[in-house]
Amino acid sequence: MKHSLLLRFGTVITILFILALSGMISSMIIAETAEGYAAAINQAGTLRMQSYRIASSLVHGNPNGNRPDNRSRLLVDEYNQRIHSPRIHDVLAKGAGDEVNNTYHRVESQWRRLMLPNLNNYLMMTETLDSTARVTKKIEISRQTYLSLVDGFVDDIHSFVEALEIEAEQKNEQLRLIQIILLSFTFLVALVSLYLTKISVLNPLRNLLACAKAVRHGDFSVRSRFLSEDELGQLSHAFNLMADNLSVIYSDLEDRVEEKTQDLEQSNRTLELLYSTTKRLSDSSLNEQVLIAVIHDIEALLGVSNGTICLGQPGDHQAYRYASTRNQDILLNDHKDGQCAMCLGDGETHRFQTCDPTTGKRINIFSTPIRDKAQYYGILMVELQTSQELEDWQARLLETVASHIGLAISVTQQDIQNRKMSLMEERSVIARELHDSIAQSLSYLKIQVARLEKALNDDLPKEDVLQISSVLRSALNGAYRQLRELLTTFRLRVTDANLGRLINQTVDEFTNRSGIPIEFINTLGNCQFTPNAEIHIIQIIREALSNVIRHANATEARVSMDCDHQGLVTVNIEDNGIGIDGEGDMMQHYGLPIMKERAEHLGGELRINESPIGGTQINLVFTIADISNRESQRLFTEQLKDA
Amino acid sequence: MPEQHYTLLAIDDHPLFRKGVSDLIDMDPSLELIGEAANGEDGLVLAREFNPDLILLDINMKGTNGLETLKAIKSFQLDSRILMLTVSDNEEDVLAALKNGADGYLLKDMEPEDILKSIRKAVEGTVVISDHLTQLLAKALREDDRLDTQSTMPDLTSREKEILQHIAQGLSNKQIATNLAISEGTVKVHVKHLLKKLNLHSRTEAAVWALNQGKKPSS
Repeated sequence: MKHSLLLRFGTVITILFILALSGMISSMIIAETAEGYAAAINQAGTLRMQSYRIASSLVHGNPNGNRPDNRSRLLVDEYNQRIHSPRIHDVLAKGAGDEVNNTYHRVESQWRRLMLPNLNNYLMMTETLDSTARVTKKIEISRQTYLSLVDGFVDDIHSFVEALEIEAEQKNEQLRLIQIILLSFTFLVALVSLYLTKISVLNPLRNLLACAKAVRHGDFSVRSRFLSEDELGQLSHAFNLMADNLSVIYSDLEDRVEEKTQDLEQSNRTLELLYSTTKRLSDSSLNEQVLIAVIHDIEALLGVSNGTICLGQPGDHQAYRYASTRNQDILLNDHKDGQCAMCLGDGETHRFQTCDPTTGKRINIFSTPIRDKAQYYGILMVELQTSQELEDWQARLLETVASHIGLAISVTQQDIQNRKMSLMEERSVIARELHDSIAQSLSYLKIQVARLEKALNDDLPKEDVLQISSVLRSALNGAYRQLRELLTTFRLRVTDANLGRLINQTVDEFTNRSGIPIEFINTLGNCQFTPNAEIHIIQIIREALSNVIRHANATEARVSMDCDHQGLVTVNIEDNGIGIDGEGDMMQHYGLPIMKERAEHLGGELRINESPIGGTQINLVFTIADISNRESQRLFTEQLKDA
Repeated sequence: MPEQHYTLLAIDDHPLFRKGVSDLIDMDPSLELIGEAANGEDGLVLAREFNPDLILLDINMKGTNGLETLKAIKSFQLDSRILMLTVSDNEEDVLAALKNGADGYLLKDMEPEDILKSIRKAVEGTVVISDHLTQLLAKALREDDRLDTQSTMPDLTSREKEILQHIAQGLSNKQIATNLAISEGTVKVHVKHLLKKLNLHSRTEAAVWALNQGKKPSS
């Protein structure tokens, strides 16, 4: 890697290391040399003192010169040693400055050439132990010479020492300088490295941190600016790449969320429309207002304009405009012939174009069939704006709504059918009742009239004729009575459907008619009867009560009805009258068999007993299960045949 | 020639109407009502017991209805002629009755005198059908598949054709035998053959069919 941070920091550390090392080494070297100087200065100092010691020993050692001056000898020997001592030579060898060399060489040469020979001379003289004057003189002269020379010599040594000191001082100065330079270098490098750290570590890190924070708060647009070639640069690159990916993923997720939200909204709207449609269609009977309301719902939800519902079969040229929010027929001018065929199409969902008769604009029309599984009823059409395109879901929704309408129509028709059925059942009950009563009476009457005519034609005696006419009269009365009973029954049927209440009304009616208190005990519970069975029960009770009030001379009567948990129904009509054996009229005579027949119809039987309260008891017993659905089944199949 | 005397049985579930029929039959001294039944079962018992000349039979009855009773009576091979006397002018009832061998079909709302006349005709062996039912019958027979294929007279012998003519006039086997001077048994055999050839079930159908043929433009 070209600009590796590691490399850079390695470099900085290496530089610092080198700087420190060189500082240490230089100070070690300089300390080393400085150390030699001190010893050398010391040595040189002793040389100075030694010169004087020699001088003093010369002066005081042998004032008479009559013995060898051993002390001086010793000193001179020592001096020789010292002046050539390694301490001084070491310094010189280490490459001391010129000044030091020169001064030393001067001292050394002075010593060698002047002082030492003189001293050696002196010592030799003294060793001769010759105390002659000459010798003494010579000794003196040597001593004096030395003494006269010694000051200068010491001065030279002095300047040598000074040179040494100056040199040592310089070495120190050098050391200080090196240290200062190295220190400032170190400082500089440290500064540079700090700056570099700030520039290439701290700033990118801060930036990255800020970016990371921003990303954490969902802002994926931030990008790191520090895209150098180093590790942090690469980290930034990686981070930016990550942010890119994240923002892609995030925006993708957001898109998906948006999409899902839209889907949900769509579903919601769809459900709302379907719900409102279903509610509207099921809440009230199907009519134009309801359908127009449904169309308005569609318009509001799908943003389409005028909707129309037409009833017809595919391929028809004419159809019935059942409901529309458009106030004028759209195909008025366009396609005058077979206009409906266009809308009806071939019984499938289709789109077509036509002209608005008022504005002349082209309109796109979407038409979908209204049908259920079994039958095709018509179409639901909506008009689209010029640029409007129905999406798939909208088309599907319209188809569903159309099928709902189809279902509603089918339910309505089923309803009508059922009502027709029950009406037919009612009618067939009425027809049978009429047949069983009035028709028989009429036939009977006709026969009696024929007899009457024949009697008159044959000039039969008056009694015979009167007998026939009285039969006629009672039969007519009977017929009237039957008719009245039937009319009352059927009127009751219309006003109220509950058998208990119907019988209650019947009982009240007879009470009012006769003035006889008639008690009604109803413990029917929730037993349900077919209309047919109800008619039979009511008619049996009416017939029985009619007999009670007309023939029994009763003062009280009772009607009781009971239905147990197994569907066993008991009906009793009791009175405290004179009983059934009394002379009833002919119609009563024929009324009882009819009652019995009704009981048979109910799948039960009718008995005539003595009543616990003294008169007659008509007792009807049957089981609900036995009023077989056979009965209504039979009627049903008959109606099917008739239909 | 002494007055012929005929016995009748009335099977009807309406007591008042039975009473009326009894009054009506009383008006004709040659007819005698020898029994009444309120339902098919009882009627069958009485029919087998008395073997009357004519049975008056209602169609709409509780329990065993008229058509079932008719089949039952026919299955006992009684000689009684059976005359339906009912309120129902339902085409199906009429056709079913005639196919099952009823010798006539009267509606209760006919004039009583006409009913009496028809009864008398019926006991003498004539097929009687209420006027406004003949049209209906003819139409039904025209629509009958079995008759579609026979736009022309099938290969009947001249004797059979002759007998068919007589049947169409409503004559009984006895009368036909007298007219053609052959025995009644022979007439019966001929009738059986021609019914088979025409693929018809009863003389009534044959009569109606013949009338129908007569109405067609002869080819």
